[in-house]
Parts: sequence; C-alpha cells; structure tokens
Amino acid sequence: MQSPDIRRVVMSRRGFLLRITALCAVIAVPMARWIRQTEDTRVVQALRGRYYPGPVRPLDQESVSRPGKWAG
Amino acid sequence: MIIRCDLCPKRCMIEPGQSGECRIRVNLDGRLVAVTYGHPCTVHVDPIEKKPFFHFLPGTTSLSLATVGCNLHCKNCQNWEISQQNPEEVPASPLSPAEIPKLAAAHGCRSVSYTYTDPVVYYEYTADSSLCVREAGLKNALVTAGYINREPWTELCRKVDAVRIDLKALTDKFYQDICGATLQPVLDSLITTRSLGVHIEVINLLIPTLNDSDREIRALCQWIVQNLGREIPLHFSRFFPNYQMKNLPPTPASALIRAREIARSAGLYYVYLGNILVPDGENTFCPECGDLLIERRAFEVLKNTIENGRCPRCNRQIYGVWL
Repeated sequence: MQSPDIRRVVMSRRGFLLRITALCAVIAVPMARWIRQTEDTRVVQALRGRYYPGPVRPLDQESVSRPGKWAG
Repeated sequence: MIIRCDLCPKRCMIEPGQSGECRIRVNLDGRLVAVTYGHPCTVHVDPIEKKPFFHFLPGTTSLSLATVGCNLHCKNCQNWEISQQNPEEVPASPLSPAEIPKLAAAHGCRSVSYTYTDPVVYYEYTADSSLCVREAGLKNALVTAGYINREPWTELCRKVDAVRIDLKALTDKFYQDICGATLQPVLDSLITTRSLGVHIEVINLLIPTLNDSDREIRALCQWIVQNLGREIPLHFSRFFPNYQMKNLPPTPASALIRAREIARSAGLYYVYLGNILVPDGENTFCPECGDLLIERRAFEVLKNTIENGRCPRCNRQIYGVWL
C-alpha cells in the first residue's frame, strides 16, 4: 500500500493560523454587532408620547369628583 | 433597532413597532416612547384611606389617577380591565402634569396618588407630575408593586412623599407563578425607599392556600421588622375571587385575625385588616400606652386624636405624615 503524501495531510503553521483567525472572525464579528446593538440602545427614560394611540375623550369632571371603582 | 428598556427588572428587548410587557413603552422608529404620557384612563377623588394609607394625611382626599398598563400580570388583579389592556382599547383623557395640581386643589385634595395600575410603568408622567404637584405645595403618593430597577426608583422616590408597596408574598415562587415577576427587586425597592426616608406602608393580600400559612406570614413580618422597622404599617387585605383566580374562596375573617396576631407577636406596631369589617381592624393604637388614636370605619376617619404626630396621652411619636 502506498503511504499518503505527508504534505497534504499535515497543516502548515500559516494554514493553521489562517483557519483559526477565520473561525474567530466568524464567531466574533456577529457577536460584536449583537452586543453593540443591545449595548447602545439601553434606555431607562422614555420619550414623552404626544399622541395617545387609543380613543381620546375630554375629562369627565363629574366622574372625577366621585371615588373610583378601582381598587387602590 | 431593538431597544432594551431598563426601567424594570424585566428588561424587555423591544422590537420596532412593539411594546414591552407593560404594553405602554413602545419602540417607535428606534426610540422608546411612553405612549400614555399625559393621558390617564381614570381620574377620581378618593379618601386616602382607600389606597390604603393610614399614617399619611388621614381623613383627607387624594386626586387618584392611572394610565393603562402594568409590568406585572397578577392572576388575581382587581383592576385587570385597565392594567392588562392595550392603550388602543381603553379611552383616556388629556391631562398634562401642570394641570394635575390645579385639578387636585379644585377638589380640595391634599395629595395626588398615582395608583390603580402601577405608576412604575407610566414613570415619566408620574415623575413630571410629581414635580408640578410638589411645586404647588401638595404631596405625592405612589401605590405600587415596587417592581422597578434601583436607579429609576431612587430618582422617583426623591420626588414623592409616600409609597404604599404591595409585598405579595415572601417567596419567589409566588411572584413567578402568580404575578410573572420576581421577589428580590421588590425587597430592594422597600429597602431603598426606607433608606431615602420616604413614608412607607406595606400591604399583603392574603390568598387562601397560596400565601396564608403561619410560616409565610411570620417570615414576611420578620423581614419587615428586620429590614424596615417595627413602626412600618402593615395592611393585611382580604382576597376576593377575580380575573383568572376565581377558583379560590374569599379569605376567611379568621385567617386575617390570625395574621394580625402573628404580625403583632413579630413586633410590628401598626397592623391593619382591610376589605373586611372586624373589631379594631382599621384602628390605630399607641404602641406605648395603648390609647386609641385614630378610629376608622371603611374609608372614613371617625376620630383622630394625634397632635403634632404624637400620642396626646404619653407623647410618644407616631410614625407617619400628619396634618
């Protein structure tokens, strides 16, 4: 049986480093993007909304003067 | 762009066009917007005892308001028709922060209460209104579950005068199973509030089989004594079947009376029973001489003998904010 060409099986140092770098880039680049996306958009205080998205009606002064039906 | 809302411990990741779990903090074009700002869905003049606050301006009325939305989803919520709805489904009225103290004064209120749902979620409206109310010489009261991160809570506490926190149980399991939340942030809020010198009252709704064992009640009372102090008023409230929890009976009077005994034996000075009429359930007694200081029935103050915050008989200082 003929033995395989050792140069085709064994990886060169340059090849190994290239592959490791490529692998790291594949993992690190999307992760960095994701981290940056979430890090940059952490918000505590919201902007004051100008428009209420539901139906709007004037305050009923008569109902204000009565205790609320809600708990609390 | 996804936004992470860091207001409460849920830290919702909000996609564009979507809201957080509270339903009212919305990602609009990459900006977090409080869509109910300046639009309460309910505004009423309530006795302050209804909140309940028993040691904060007793016998006065409080302009009470709420917007839609809540960051908790309690299966027994009594106000689910406003707390668990989207703003698109509930009518609201325009009322700017500057108009609130004027409305309160016009109705003879000494304070404004942010209540019914949870003022934590309409944070910006609460904060801005509190400043206007304080400038007008009135007081601010929060009625909340205290489920909020420390930094925004500290900031809000500096603007208010009284906080009533709902300590629902002393187990994480209860908070997770019944409320969709966790316990520790609530305990942190209580400790922060106390450390800032803001008036606190604590309420605990006793639900049969879920949080009414002697062991749990004792643990809750001991936690209050050790971390907040004996003088913090504790209200045990009676549960009634509601919303998604109609399978349990109302809390029996005997369970509430037993809870009061446990709380007193743990060393708490002021223990009250709510949502039920039992002898002395709502009365305030001097912890020193035992004198009856405030007699109440339902939300009405029948007698109040406290003078300058002290017992008229033994001169002991009574915890609270008095007239």
